[in-house]
Amino acid sequence: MSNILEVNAISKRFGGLIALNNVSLVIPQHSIVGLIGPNGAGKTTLFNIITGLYRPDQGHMLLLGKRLPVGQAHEVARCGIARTFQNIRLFGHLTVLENILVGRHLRSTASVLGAIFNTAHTRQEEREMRDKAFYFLNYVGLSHRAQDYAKTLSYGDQRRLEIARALATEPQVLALDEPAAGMNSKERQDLAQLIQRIKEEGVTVLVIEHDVKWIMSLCQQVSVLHFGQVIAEGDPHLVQNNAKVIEAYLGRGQHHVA
Amino acid sequence: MKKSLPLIVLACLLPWLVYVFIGQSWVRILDFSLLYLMLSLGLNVVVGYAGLLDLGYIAFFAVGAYSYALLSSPQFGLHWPLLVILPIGALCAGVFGVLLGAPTLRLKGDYLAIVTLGFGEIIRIFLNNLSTPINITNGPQGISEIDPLHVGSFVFNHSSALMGISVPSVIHIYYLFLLAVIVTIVFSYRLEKSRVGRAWMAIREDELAASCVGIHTKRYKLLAFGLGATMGGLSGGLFAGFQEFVSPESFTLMESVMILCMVVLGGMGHIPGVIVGSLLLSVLPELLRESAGWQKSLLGSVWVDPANLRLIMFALALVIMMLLRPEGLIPSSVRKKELHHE
Ligand SMILES: Nc1ncnc2c1ncn2[C@@H]1O[C@H](COP(=O)(O)OP(=O)(O)OP(=O)(O)O)[C@@H](O)[C@H]1O
Ligand SMILES: [Mg+2]
Repeated sequence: MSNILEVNAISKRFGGLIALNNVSLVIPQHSIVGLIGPNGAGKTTLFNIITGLYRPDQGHMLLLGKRLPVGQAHEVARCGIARTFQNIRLFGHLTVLENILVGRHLRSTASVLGAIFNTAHTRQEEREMRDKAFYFLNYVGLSHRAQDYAKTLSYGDQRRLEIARALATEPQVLALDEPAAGMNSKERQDLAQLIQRIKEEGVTVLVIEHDVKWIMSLCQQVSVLHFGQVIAEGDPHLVQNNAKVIEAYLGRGQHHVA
Repeated sequence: MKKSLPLIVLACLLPWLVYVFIGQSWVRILDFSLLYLMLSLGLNVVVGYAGLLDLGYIAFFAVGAYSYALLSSPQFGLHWPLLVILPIGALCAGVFGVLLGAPTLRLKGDYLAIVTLGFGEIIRIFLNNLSTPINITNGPQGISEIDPLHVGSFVFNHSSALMGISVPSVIHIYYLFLLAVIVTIVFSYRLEKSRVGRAWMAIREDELAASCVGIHTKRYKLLAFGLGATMGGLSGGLFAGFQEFVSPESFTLMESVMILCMVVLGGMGHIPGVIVGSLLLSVLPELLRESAGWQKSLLGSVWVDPANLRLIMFALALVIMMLLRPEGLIPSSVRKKELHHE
């Protein structure tokens, strides 16, 4: 299996704090890869660097062997990486449908002139976009809420809408930052199924989660971050029994891994 | 669109009703309110759609007005036709919109407001001082004897006779402005419902999330500044030709604030709201101006100077609005839900 994404020796500091220290990861194509680690380990920071929200101080990333642009989120999205956020970031005053339509931005071309003069091409594209948008809404089971404002959705529905918006960009890699946070066990199960389905469609999924059991059953590969460093990676069960990981989670002893 | 037909018919009859029953001066006030409406629609693109708080918007009105003035007056001896200078003025304003927008792209909210306010003032101060060493704008005296609005030999600023009925100039002007307003409304509406409009609103809602679905946020912000300014520039050109005179004092900060109030009062980002807001705020102050007469007849003397009364009413209206209906008088249903939930 080839690697879709390679993260090479990424470092990032915020003032005196080293959030990521020489982090490297390889993400195999068509897999679900978990990223775990205690609070403040640097998981979200790594996502932010991969998706171009932050610029790394060192290191680079390769997507299918090609250098990924750094620090330019819209360019990264164009390359085929979509994401969700730890604290849901929807377009609250837009409808559910419009949120997805915004997600189709890269897959459509209407310009200002096309819009102003309402050209045949624009109208045609708009119709196609709507059909596509409903496809993604159906995919996550939200088409009955299409005309409601995103703000009015329940927490779980907002999470699913955010995933649908990311899927609407038709990404190669989908990065989910704690998608299961705040969900009950039934919702977690449904979410795991959804992620499984997304993977089966050929999308590689990178997922951050604190619930170790949930992630171990979902992922083919897990990486553990601790104080900005990868302390273990590979097969979920081997990782789970790794001494360093147990120590990081249970906090035994004050000395952390150098 | 079909629902708006009765409204358009009403809008076409309105100047005659006002002319016959109230008087010519009030038709003139309607003319001005149409110019304000165009300005509000332009600012709505920037503030309402893209969520960029711009306090210097009047500068683009000024650029449009001075473009018209310089290309169609004895100042440089140029007398280009209306259909050439209006687009040029609008384009110049659009270019200024992009140029002034570019340095502000990293700013948000209050900071953006302060910087745009500064830019607006800079433009006005330039207009005031570009009379030396080379006289371009004629300084504070402004530019007079500007060619009236005309197409071929038809002059909008002069009255005409149509089948024996004399049509006053203010009514010609009204129809010209109404046409411009309707075009602006149609364009705004189409933008709002398009990929471009949705990209703006996504930026307004959450810039970071917008960039993560692939929206080039800087480009779309510049586009909003540019298009908003273009609408302002068009309105400015019409203003210059209508007045046949421009001077820097028409383009003060107070005017920018006024237009922002029009956009906010009716309901930002929602075209019907913007229309109602700007019509109300351009007609009400004129009513208050007449209050000196009522005060005299009711109270014996003028108690409050109408000019001050205007400002007091303005301030009161805004404060009451923000307390009771922060979503605007005619909000989009979205904003209403949101603001009354929390
Ligand atoms: N923009 C920032 N400026 C300064 N410090 C930051 C910034 N972003 C993250 N940090 C710091 O970097 C460290 C890693 O944060 P990060 O959000 O990546 O952790 P995390 O692994 O996602 O934690 P959690 O499980 O709590 O979400 C933390 O100490 C955090 O305070
Ligand atoms: Mg995090």
